[in-house]
Amino acid sequence: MTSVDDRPPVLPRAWWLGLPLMAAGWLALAVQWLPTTTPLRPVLVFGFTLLGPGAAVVMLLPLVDRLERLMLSLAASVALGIVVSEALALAHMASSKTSIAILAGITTILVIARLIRSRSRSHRWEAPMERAR
Amino acid sequence: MAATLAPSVPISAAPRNSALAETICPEPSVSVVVCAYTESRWAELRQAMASLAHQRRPPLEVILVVDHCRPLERRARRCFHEAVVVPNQHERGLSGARNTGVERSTGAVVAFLDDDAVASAGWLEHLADAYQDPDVQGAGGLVHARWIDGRPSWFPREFDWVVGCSYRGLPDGPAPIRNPIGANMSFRREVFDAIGGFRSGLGRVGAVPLGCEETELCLRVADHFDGARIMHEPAAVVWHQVPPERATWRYFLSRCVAEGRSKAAVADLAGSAPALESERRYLRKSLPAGVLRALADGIVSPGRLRAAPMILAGVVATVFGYATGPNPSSLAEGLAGSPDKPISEPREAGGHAGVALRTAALGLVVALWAVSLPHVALEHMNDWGLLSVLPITFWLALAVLTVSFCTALGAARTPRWLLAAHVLTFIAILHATPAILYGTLRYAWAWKHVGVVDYVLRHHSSYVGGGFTAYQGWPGFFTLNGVLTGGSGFGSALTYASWAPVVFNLLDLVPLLMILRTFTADRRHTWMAVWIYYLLNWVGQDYFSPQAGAYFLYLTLIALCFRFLLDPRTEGRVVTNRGGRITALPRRHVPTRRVAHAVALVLVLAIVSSHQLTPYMLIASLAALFVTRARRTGLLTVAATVLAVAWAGLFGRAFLSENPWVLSSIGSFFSNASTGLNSLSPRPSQPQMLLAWVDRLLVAAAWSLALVGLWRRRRSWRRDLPLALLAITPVVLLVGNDYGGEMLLRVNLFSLVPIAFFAARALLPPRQGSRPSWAMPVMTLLVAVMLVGFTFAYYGKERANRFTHREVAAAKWLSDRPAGTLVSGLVPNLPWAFHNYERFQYDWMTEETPNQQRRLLAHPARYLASHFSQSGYRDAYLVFTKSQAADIEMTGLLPAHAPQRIERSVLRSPQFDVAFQNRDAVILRYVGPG
Repeated sequence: MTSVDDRPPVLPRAWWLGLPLMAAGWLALAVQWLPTTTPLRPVLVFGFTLLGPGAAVVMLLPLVDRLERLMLSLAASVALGIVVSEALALAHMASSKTSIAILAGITTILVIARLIRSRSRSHRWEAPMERAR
Repeated sequence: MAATLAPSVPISAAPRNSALAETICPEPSVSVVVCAYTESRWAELRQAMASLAHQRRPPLEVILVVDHCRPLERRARRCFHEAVVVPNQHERGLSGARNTGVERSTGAVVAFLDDDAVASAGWLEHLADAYQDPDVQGAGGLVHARWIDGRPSWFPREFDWVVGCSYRGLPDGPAPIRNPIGANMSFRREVFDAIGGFRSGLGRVGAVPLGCEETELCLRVADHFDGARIMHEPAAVVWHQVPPERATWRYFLSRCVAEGRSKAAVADLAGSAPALESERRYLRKSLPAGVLRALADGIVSPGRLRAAPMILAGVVATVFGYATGPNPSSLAEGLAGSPDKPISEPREAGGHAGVALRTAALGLVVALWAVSLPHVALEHMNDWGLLSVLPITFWLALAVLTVSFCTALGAARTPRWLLAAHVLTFIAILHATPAILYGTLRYAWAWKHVGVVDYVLRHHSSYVGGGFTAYQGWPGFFTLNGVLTGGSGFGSALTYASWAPVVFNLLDLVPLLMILRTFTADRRHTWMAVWIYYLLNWVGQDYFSPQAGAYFLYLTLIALCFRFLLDPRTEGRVVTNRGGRITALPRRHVPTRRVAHAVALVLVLAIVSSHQLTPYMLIASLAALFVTRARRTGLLTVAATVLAVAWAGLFGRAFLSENPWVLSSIGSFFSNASTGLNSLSPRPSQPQMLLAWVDRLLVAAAWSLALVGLWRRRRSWRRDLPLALLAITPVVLLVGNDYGGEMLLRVNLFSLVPIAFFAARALLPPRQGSRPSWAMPVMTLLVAVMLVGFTFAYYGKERANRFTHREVAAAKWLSDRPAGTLVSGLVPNLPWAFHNYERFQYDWMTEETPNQQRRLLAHPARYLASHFSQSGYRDAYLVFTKSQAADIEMTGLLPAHAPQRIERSVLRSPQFDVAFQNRDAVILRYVGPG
């Protein structure tokens, strides 16, 4: 058994993950105008804020391990949430609507970047490795 | 030669059930695994399969693993009816294919034959003979070279390993060896069950194949089976084809260099002394003899003279490869994902009864837990906290869970989901129990943190005055929770803050697993370390707090550094593939690197801006990794330092100027350390004194176990260095600050992951095969003792940490008082400050000077009245709650019965009116002398 190419991991399919991610962000923003007792609000806001932006970041990285992807999705979402909300708070403009809108915007930009990248072949880095016995 | 035989000849008439086979023949049943990857070697493959069909001792089964080649797989299925044709279930490559074969095989011994090798008729017979000795865990035979174009005269026989064949210098008769040759080898199944299969990633460095997977596996065998032997059985012969392109001096020299590099890696993995002993012997004896023989042969046949310089050239090339090859540490790092076990896990089949039993045990645990919850009489809680009221069913649930988990670890084939289910149940029981039982938010500081979120929501800012600068200077946690609370429509973080310990412990599990998996691929080790981590995480920093949030981000960032910031030589390639442990970022791909750097910076910024202490723990860890060259964290260290200092300078100035102790305690290591020890218990009650000692014992036991574990892993010290550094760096921070007397607790928190990792190694008994019968019960017992220690440390202070609904009602009444009100009480241990935080001034009697406290205790009502009259506040309230009294009783912050005396005195005083009262709380308003 000689010369087996060890191809780099294929990036995840951008569309089926990217579009729901973008949608979740804007939906989380949209439900802000629903009554506070709507059960959908906490589900969407917690779900999107704690996972969405990070998941969009992860789409841009060649991570193959599912746990690794989950870890970075959570951590990057939390970190982006902190940075965005903090910037608004320091500017005396803290508001959940604005924060969610910015996070949804970031998510959308990242997903679009991923979609553009998947259209070109440039994202395929070179990692030719031959192995033989 | 069997080349002309049809490949569809029946391969085996032996029974397919290995257990049955064992009873029929005294020798072990042998499964043969053949791995193929290309149709271009179809003719050779047919010969290999045909040779297996004509073994004097038929194999139990032949498994042909096709390595990601669909046409070959279809063709093989059509032609080799008697073989089990399976696709490689793992990553591309020989290791993955071999592991797939092992997983599909059922024989007691698994033999491997190359697809371009042909076995002699007695091959399996002789291999199987070797296993009559129970100490033999593996056996290999002789591999003769079949030169397609004839053997070049210059090719020294001493160097036949270059073409994957037996070389001159191997023992002539059966003898123990370090490792067999991959083309002709076999291992007992229990080897794979215990230590897993072949490790991927080892066989390559750059574009150069190394191929020391079998060596690495054999080193692991020697490590884990006491007295284990790998036998060389020269009677078990195979012929290995050598194509003309390998009979060139260019191939010869490149393979020598590659072999040198692989030896460097092996030496690093196993320590150079044992790993390279056979090489030294070979260099000392076989090669000089080879040179002399070549010179002697040259007299008869001058062409053979050329073998002598080729031997020397081969030695030089190999030494060159060894010396200039991959930095052993970088290679080891690349491999660190699977130092103990391969990428592929032992299969899950075969343990159905065990899985069913443990699943049932988990069901029983959940049932016992559910049954116990309604029977907890919280009102009877005494100084032992929750320990005093938890029913026997609760303890039974924990006992069953511990035993089930430990036995699951002991079993060879416990699936990962089952171990994960145990851990999740464990987290749920330990951390959800208080949340479910109390129905109110636990721990006074959590209420205050809810108040800061409330502040952000009301003011749309983290700072418009208010005097709680520690939070306002580092507001990240609160502003994010502001988004969650406001966005979800909850109105207050109180809705969900009770569940923070469960959520944070679950969150931490993800980076924790990633860190552990970077240093061991041994599933037992990983999950035992996880278990111990949760057993040792009694410090209680998992409540609704910036520390808990920042700690999760810290763990994630450390995990990312461990996994991505490898040595430049390892970087730029995917070190292991799907199912692998480490994914290095591609160096050349600039956009990817930019994204990665941006993510790391955002994480650092989030940590720096949301907690005062964690950034410095992070900087210390990153710097340690950088200085010791364990990871390339230099840039990140600089970035974190600049950001942390800049943030403290820009936004934390108010806090630092109000709290000069932060800067003044810098540099006082011993004072900082002892502050932590003393402040745990000034004048504690008897149970609390004991609990404090349990805390310390738990810490001491954990560190001792970790040292034992470190010693047991001493051979992989280079690989473990980053993790060991992580245990030490938090201790160094004691020089920096006492963190309000809490530094020791925080040090304990930040060194928890490495401590758990090494302690797990100490606790885990040897693997199956050489494990004494008492090992597993002893491990279970130790884990159970640690669990008891955890429950003491974590649940022992609950009398003060739990607030009743009545206390909450009183606190809510108080929070609606007008702005500018003075709120005073014994100690800030009550549900306070969760709403309208900044409207009130808080004043706690335990924070008075000793002199003031003496005057207070002598004449409580008079002292407080004069205190309030001088304060100048429009309204002043005194709060007495059950949990405040409990806290004082437990910690001894005031003398025994002081709370009751003060309360009685104030109640009798005409200067105070009862404004609110229920069974657990009294609020008095200062009305003045008139």
